[in-house]
Amino acid sequence: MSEITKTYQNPRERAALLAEAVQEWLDGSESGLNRAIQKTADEGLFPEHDIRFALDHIRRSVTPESLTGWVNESFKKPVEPELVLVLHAGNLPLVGFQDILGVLLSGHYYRGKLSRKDPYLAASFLKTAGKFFPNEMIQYSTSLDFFNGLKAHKVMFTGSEKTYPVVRERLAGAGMMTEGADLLIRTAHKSVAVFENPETIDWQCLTEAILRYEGRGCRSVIEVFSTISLEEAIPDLEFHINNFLESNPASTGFPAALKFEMAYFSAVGISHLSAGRQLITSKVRQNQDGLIIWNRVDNPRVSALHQKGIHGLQSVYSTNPADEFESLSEAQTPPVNWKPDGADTLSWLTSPGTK
Amino acid sequence: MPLTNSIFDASIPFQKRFEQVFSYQLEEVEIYRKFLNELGFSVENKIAQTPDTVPLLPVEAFRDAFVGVRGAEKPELEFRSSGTTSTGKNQRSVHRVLSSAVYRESIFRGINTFYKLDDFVILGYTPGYSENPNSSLIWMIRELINSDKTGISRFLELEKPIPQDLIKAAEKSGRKILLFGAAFGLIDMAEQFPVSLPSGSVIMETGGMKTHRREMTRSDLHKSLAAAFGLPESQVHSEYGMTELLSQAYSTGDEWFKCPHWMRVSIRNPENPLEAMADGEEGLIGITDLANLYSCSFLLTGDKGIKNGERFKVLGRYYPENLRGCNFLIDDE
Repeated sequence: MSEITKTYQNPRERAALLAEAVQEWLDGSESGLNRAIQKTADEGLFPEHDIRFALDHIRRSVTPESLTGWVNESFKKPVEPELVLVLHAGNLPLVGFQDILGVLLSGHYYRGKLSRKDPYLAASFLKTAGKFFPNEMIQYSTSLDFFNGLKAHKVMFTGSEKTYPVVRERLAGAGMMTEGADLLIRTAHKSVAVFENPETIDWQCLTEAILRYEGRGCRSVIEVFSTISLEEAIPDLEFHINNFLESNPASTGFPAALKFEMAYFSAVGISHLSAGRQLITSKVRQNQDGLIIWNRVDNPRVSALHQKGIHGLQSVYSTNPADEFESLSEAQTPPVNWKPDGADTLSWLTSPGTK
Repeated sequence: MPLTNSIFDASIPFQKRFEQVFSYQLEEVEIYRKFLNELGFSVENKIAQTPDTVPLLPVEAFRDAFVGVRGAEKPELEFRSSGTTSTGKNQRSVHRVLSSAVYRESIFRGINTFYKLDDFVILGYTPGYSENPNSSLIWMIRELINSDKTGISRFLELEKPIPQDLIKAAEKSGRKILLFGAAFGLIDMAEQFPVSLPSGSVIMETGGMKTHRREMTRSDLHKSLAAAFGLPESQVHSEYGMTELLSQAYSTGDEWFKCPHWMRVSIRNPENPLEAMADGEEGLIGITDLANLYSCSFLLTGDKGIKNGERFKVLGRYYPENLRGCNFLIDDE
């Protein structure tokens, strides 16, 4: 690994450069992005409509203004550049793109272990970014072994409570991080939506929040709290789900485990509705990947606030602008400075180490 | 009903009894028939099934609907679960038992498969029947106690030691003790009132590990119980049963459970419960219990287990990996 020898410009200059790099990458003519999209879709890693959606969102949300705004809000103080190892998950196209932006904005050196489930898209951006930033600032690989002996000062990763000790042991054992490295670990895996008044349900937004990326993101809605029952919701939901699936067809067939659940729900008379590769139900027999729970409750707000205390929750959404909750319309299109697991990435990267 | 006799008749091949019960329940158990229809099974499929291929109705059906043949709405017995569910919500399963005779038959034939009941005095360290008339386990222990002609068998008082005169009476009668109790109750008893039981006695732990206030493996539990009651570890056994089943499996000194001849286990793929896992592979424990003649004999539990031939091991509750969120981490192995 090359030694860290210099800082590179100030954060606002980096924000401007980064915005330019993103623009050039999205332009696609020379960046290899089009090829990356094609390969990702052809290899069945992600459906093309989800890739396009993610890219469109980046185009709209990553601008010179938004990046500068993030710096103004969250950049703590200039830092001595350190090596930051980012372990990217592979559940969504370009998941962890914000981490790349955060590291480059912070002035640290990005070392990215890209997922083999998403090996082309981020790589095409990093290649473009390499033209705007010094070479030593950006290195990446889909092989974790590439980072043996890295001795990163900071490590960012997303996983579960269960995977964390395994990952930590692996990184420490191979000398990928220093002994006292700062770790930013995200474990959130679900979001919920709350509707106090049926009139305020935005069916299209809700459908998008549930179905986009086939529900695999931590920002995806997997539980709804409403004063109306699923049975009452089904006509509207079904209409919008069908519309969504028409332009965003499911990548593969309906999972066998959910077919089994569906047969069970039908037999015992529990309301349910299939939604792409997911299943919306009013009652859960056993927690199951792909199940969306629709709760009819008298006081959705109280239920939602209760959810806030539950481990693994990313966001609570509502459609009421007066609420303290996030806007449902931003479930799959968060601002560039959104906070995975409630932590501001740039702020964490530019704060004194917590060890 | 001729089937009530044939389900316990070991001279009839299991597959034949299985097919008879499957055929009967397809006709008579509305919820099971509906479930099969929803899965796309038709009446023509019924003969082709085996315990490893038969669709298993989730045990939660006993909580969410009525599971039984026509007439079971007015049962002789009604059992209710304690209310713990995988989702943490307190909802009870209800098993309406049309014929107490079938349950009684299953209890005695089952335990006699593994133990010579006349060699034992039965003690129950559980709430008594009057305090908990809806527990199938307590009903079973009561039946076992009542069957003891010596009159020594009984429910023990909770939070009190086993009376010395009771132990002496058992010894005097030439019998050993078969002590039933839930895991958490037995461990409390072992800690507070350790006592040496007659040689050859058996501690029968009936589950309930998950409700105990401390983390403890089954193996550690058995070690502690053996030490407290002056028995070798091989004398600490387990019973696997639940409200939804009228038969029990027993582990008699190791961690492997064995079933009576009218009960079979099939480990199912959690990603597709219609598929059986191979021996040694973990999955959901599925049970065929022919004694459930008047409810449903083909059930999928929420327990995780593995199988080796006709034996199976219980590995705790099954909690699916959460595949949402950014949970796919080191993917290069």
